[in-house]
Amino acid sequence: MASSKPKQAKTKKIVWLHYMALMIAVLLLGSGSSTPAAAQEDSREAAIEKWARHFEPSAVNLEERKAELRWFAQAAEPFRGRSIKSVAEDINTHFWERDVLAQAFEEITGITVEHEIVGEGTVVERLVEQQSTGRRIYDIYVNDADLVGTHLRSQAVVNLSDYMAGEGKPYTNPYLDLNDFLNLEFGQDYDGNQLQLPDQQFANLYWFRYDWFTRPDIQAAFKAEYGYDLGVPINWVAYEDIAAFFTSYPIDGRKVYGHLDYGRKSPSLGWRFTDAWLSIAGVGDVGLPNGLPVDEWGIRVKERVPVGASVERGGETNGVAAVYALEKYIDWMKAYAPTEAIHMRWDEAGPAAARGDIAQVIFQYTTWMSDEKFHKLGSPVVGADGKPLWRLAPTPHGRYWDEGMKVGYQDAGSWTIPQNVKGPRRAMAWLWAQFSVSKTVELKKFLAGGTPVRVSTVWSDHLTENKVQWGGLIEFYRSADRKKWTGTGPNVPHYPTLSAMWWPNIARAIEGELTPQQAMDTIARSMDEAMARMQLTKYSPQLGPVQTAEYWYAQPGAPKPERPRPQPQTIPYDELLRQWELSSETGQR
Amino acid sequence: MKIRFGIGQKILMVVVGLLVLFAVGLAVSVGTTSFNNLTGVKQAELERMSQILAEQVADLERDAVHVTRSFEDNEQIARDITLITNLGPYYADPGSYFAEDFTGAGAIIDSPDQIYTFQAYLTLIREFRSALLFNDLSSISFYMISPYSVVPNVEPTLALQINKELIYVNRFINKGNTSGLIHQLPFNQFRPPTSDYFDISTAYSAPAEKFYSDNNFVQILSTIEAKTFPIDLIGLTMSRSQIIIKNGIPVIQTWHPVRLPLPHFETWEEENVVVGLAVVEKELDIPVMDTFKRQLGLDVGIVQGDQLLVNSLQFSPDNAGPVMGEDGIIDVNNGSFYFARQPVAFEQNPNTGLEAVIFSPVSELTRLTQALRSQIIWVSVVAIAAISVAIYMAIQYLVNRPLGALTNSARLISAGNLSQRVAVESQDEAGLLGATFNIMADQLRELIDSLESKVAARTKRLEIVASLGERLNAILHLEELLDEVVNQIKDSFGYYHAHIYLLNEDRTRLVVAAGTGPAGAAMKEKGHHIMLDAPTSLVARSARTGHSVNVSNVREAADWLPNLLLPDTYSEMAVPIVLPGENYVVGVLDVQSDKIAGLDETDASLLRTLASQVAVAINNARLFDQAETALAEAHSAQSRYTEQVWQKARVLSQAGEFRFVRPGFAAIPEEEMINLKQQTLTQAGLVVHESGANATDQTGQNVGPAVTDIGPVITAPVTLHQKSIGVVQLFPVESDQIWPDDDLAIVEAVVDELAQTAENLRLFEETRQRASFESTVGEISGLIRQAPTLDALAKSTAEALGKVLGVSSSLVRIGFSPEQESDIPGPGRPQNGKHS
Repeated sequence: MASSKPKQAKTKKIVWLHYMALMIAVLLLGSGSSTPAAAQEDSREAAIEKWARHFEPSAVNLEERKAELRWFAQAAEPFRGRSIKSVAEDINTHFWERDVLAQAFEEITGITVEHEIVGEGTVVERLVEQQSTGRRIYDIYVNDADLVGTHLRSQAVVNLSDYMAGEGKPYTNPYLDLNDFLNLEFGQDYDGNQLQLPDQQFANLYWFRYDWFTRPDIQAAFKAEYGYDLGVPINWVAYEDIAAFFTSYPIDGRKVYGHLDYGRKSPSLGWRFTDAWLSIAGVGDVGLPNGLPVDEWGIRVKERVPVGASVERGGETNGVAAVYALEKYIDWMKAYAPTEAIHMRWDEAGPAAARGDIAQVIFQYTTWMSDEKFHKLGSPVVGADGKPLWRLAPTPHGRYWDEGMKVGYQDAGSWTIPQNVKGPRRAMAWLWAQFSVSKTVELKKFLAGGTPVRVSTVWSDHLTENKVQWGGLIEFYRSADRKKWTGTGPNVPHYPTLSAMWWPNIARAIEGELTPQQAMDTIARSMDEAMARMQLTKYSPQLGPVQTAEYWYAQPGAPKPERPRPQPQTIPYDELLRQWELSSETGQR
Repeated sequence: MKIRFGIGQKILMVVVGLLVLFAVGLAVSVGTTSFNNLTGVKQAELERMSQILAEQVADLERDAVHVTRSFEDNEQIARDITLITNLGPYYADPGSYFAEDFTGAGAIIDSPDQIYTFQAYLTLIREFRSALLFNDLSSISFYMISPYSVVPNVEPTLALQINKELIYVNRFINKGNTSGLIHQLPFNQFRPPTSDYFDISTAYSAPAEKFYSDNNFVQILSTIEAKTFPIDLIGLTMSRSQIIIKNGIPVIQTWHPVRLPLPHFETWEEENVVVGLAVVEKELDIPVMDTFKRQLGLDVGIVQGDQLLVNSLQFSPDNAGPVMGEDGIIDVNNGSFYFARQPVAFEQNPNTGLEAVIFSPVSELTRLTQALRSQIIWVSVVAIAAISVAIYMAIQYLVNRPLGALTNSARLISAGNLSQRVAVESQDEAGLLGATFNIMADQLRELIDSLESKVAARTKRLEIVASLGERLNAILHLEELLDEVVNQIKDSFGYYHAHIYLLNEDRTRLVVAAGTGPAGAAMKEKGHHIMLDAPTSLVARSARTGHSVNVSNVREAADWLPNLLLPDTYSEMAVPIVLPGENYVVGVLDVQSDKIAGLDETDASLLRTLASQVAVAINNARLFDQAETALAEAHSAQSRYTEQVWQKARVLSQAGEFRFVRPGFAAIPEEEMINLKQQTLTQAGLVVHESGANATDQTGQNVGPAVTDIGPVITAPVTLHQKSIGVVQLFPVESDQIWPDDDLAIVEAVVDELAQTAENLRLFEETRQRASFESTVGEISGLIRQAPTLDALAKSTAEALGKVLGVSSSLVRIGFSPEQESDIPGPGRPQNGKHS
């Protein structure tokens, strides 16, 4: 076209002007004169000083914090005055990020962050919309690592490993220290590429009333009835016994419950299952962070390609272990939990154990442990000395669980940048993500939200001194066992689509509309049908051949045939704690 | 035979006549003037219709402008235009590209961005297709420009165009490069993708060209068109339209600068900036002309200069040439048409160079005139017939029917059916007449009923008066009579009070003689009276004048004095009681009512009649009293005579007393006998004196003391002319004897016979003595008659009398002097003038 050359010349001219402006700014910064730029520099340095002191306690010292913050200020220099938008789910950690970190980041870097807090469902919905339409809604998402299987197949998110090595290198924090992250693997694809950077993580653990479990009279009563010691249950049989015991054993004349869960028909009901419940029951194969070739959703992969979820295709979503998991969930909620539990959502049940009449919770998201109800003096679960009366311990496992399998869930909200966020926005988003997980701020963020992502945080002197306040959480994250608590793995090819199939059918099972077997059959069939339609960029599902269930049950590993009821096992909490401490001292750090 | 017409028929004939005259006049005048006027009217109408047509063409332009503006308001369209702008060749979101990524024409637009753009194209095609069909547009296009002139001086470049035959999209490959790959798809082959066609992985799963080919878009090598709108966009802020000629057909072309928020490439601040041009075209083709023709009812066309570009006349513009005549007539297709033309003006472009034309065939006017005459005639005939029928029906309904009903009712009433009424069904004159007739009938009936009741009442009164007269005639005692009169008057006629005053003997006062109720009795007892000369008394006035006096409301009379005994009196009437034939007032009948004007002339007439009867009755009673008095005096004289003669007789016949004593029984003591005899002489009839008890007569009444130890003694006076002339006494044998009634009857009969026989004997004696007297007188008379002179007469008489009568001396004188005569009273001269 005749006019293309003049246009190109004009474009070049604009770019040149941009660079000129940047150079002038750099020169002015370097001059140290009392120019506006110098004043700006002074202001920025003051902000670094201010926030470096603010982020105390920290895993790093003041100078290290200043150095790190100063790097952020310099790296963000080209973007001063710009703004980006991020989004995260509605837990304490992210509220703290919005209210404290975003302000600190703006004062230090000059980049304004609009950190929007919405429900987890909305986070995923908007991410899907952005990836589907190319319309930029946010520049970066705190997206659970449960979607890593989706991201590695869609190729629609920025490969952070590549970015850090390439275009993003100037904007990658030299103090980032990826090895310091507790579970970096949650955000990695099969090849170890980092697709998501952990921002916060919380596990589901076993929660119980340590004070009741250690009272001699209660211990004696339990042993008299069940013939073994009351302690942290190692398997579901023991948990069931303890649940039945407390539900029928008033403590100090007051009715208590041996179990707590939630059952209201809502998307969060599905999380309860897809996060880890089936793995705790024993669905899937041995392997960490997720079982291979069959994971805890019951999805079988073959050479990274999902081939089916139903037993007939080698999956285990409707296997006997999965049905057993659903049956126990329903039976226990109806038999041992308060009657209102069946009408609760996850956010209602989360802090409910703090009301004082719950003896144990098999599936307690630890993010709720930061709720003041569990710490405030005067709470029924806090002692007169201000220390918690509760403790956290490993989740007991079902009869199909084998050693080497994951035994719980960790929600790893992870910074995720859609592919269509490019150039400066991508760089600013990456700076903001690194800032929010930096060693400078991470311990402070843990104290606010109870969701650690760094080893340096959980091993910090501050937490060593105050670990008792966290009821075993610190010990858990310091132990090697934490590796058994993982997120949804890479086998799940399309988390938004497949997860939507769980909660409606589980709700129908709770309401009695479907038997547990029918519910799991429906979920397995739906997932197979959905995977058959998927056309993902990499490792797109290809359903495998159909075989009889007997064929698959006869094969080693998942799907597993029916197993007999095992003997109940418990362990004294203090013994468990010693084991965790032992494992942490033997180089698991 | 003489034909008689009713009112309705007469009216009908007059109206029909007038209508015929009017219709004939109308036909003549219209027929004459219509042809002259119609031509002018037609021209004016065509002018007006051409203005409407020009306005309708302008409306099409306004609709097109509205469509282009709606792109900014439609959230989906705005979002997709923003996306294709961001991902297109001429703009870079300053946050999404480093400057070095946007240099030169060589920078490739990422394949995912091309796919996202294609997605947006598909959505825009879906939206534009709806707008195209809904607004019957010819085409909708979107042209890319460079917002903020990031790529300076760039011409608008077609990104998307859709018309009713083909869809074009431009797949841009390079940043800063206007040359893209034009792809096309037949309009009717477009199928919007399913909702899950684009997923999270889609944009990264395949090259962009795969999505174009999968959706049947085929790349073409030629350009689509040369731009026909101004490309200088500086200062372009609002929609503009123009007329272009495509293939000889006029087209309304509207272009609108689409403004959407985009970050400024330097400040990153979002501003509303022109991101492209939405171009809408609307062909003014034959179907559009046919649509106008249907709406306006006239043939239409579009003219540029003298060139008829398009029309609804089935006339090919190819043969046109400069055919628009100066005389307002165009000849096409073997016909002539009147026409009018009006320039088409758009809001932002008043001079489009086009004119809207309206056609009307000349032959239509001729036919119209002829048809008009025929129509007037036929319409007149039909109208006159219809009007005649309507008037006839109206007269029948509105006039004849109510008059007939009125006549019939009058006839029935005259035949005596007073209950007959006319049905009033309207408020018009006929209804008013019927209502008035009914009122008259009501009043007639009331009058007759009133007369009958008055006659009946009067008859009844007369009957009462007659009955009262009969009763009064039967009463001979005045006092009783007057009481009866007032009570009957009050009770029979329902008056409040009635009383009768009678003049006293010296005729100075009117004294209450009778009155009704306690008031009347009290007034009578008190001797209530009114002076005859009392000036204010209506009673006195009536007595003085001899006429009735009626006061309808006595309380309004200035000098009326209330009577405490008659507190409820309101009206009063006094009627004189005049002796018939003598015009002599004897009293006043006074009647009072407790109602104002309670007494009228009827009452006066009635009361006068009653007063006359009362007067007669009073007269009768007085005559009766006089007769009774005379009779009593006669009886008294006879009784006295009887007593005298029998006293004389009893003296003479003392020895006539006889006593019988049954042998063996002792005689009754003398003093007892004398006592009983004295008692018997004073008693009226036979009496039985019981022993030791008082004597009783035959009715059982006590008449005297008992006779001691004798037993029941019968004593019976011998009575003649109510005077006892003797006594019969019978003593019992036994003291306890009982006298049977038969014995008593025998005694009475014997005593009566005894009296009569005694009287006969006395009369015989008297007659014998008179015969002796007469003999003596005769004898003397014989002597007297023999005297020859007066003196002899006197002497004879004196001697005879002296001799016969045995007197010592006698004097007889015959003749007196005048002095002696005046001292002697005359016999039978009345003592005064009063009649008695």
